[in-house]
Amino acid sequence: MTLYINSGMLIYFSGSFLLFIIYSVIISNYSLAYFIWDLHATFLLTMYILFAVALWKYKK
Amino acid sequence: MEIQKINDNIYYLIFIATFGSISLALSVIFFYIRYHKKFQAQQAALQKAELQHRQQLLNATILSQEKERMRISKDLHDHIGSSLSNLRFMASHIQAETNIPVIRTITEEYKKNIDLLVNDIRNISHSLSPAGLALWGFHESLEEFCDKTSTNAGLQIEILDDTGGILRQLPFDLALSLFRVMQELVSNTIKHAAAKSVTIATGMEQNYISVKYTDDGRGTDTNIFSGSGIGMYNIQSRLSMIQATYNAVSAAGKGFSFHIRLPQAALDKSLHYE
Repeated sequence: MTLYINSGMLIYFSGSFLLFIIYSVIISNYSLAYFIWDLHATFLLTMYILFAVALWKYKK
Repeated sequence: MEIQKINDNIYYLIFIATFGSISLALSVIFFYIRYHKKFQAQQAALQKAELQHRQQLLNATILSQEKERMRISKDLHDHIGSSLSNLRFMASHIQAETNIPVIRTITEEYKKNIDLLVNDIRNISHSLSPAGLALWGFHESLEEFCDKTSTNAGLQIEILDDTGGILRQLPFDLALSLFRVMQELVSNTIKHAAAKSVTIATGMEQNYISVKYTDDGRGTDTNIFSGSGIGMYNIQSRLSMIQATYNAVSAAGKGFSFHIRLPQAALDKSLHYE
């Protein structure tokens, strides 16, 4: 169970790390900012799905 | 135009950098899972080896115990028994040679005591190691044991043999283990069950020899294997030694039954006593 939570965190933060770093530089470009938030949302979704799996396993 | 190109490059850069770090993370997870699986497999193998080792230890313990019992019983029967016979012979010699009535009565007492002693020693030696088992096989020894128990403890024991003589050819170690298990079961019945009669039914199933022990005592609802009693533990270890499976069925007021299934394959690879 902890494996799912840990890997969810790892994937989300390693993916978004770069996006957070460069966000202040490219904030003037709207389409690029939207693209970055889309990417970020994808990682977030992955993490939450993994959390859900973890909770489901724990319940079992 | 220039700005558009830079933007495209930035898209690519962000994309590549992000997925690079993501693939790093994924590989970490992958290696962790692989390592974990390997570790678990190793652990399982270790546990299996441990179990096997314990089983071997158990076998060795039981084997050496039986050997020692046999030796003691043989020594008791042969050495002390024959010495006592000598003594008895000497006593009757004295009795024949003398005319003094006091000595005659004393030697008479003497002989009686020796007879009692010989009897005791024979009983002890027989209960240490059932001598008949090697000579006549499991079935006869069981019958003899049951006859003795019937007269001593007032328990009616019935033996139904439906194996067609296989029990007579049972290898010694299997016979001994089965015999000890039967002894233990009977003594349990006498101790706890207040039963009137016991049935021991033997028969063949496909690849098994089945031995079914049933008594009509008061039975029990508790799990007989969970207690701290050494008797049931002995039964378990002996049966696992000869690779037999077993199950016990009992309920309060409904008697007790114990079903042993001995695979025929076990007959071939039996252990050997000296």
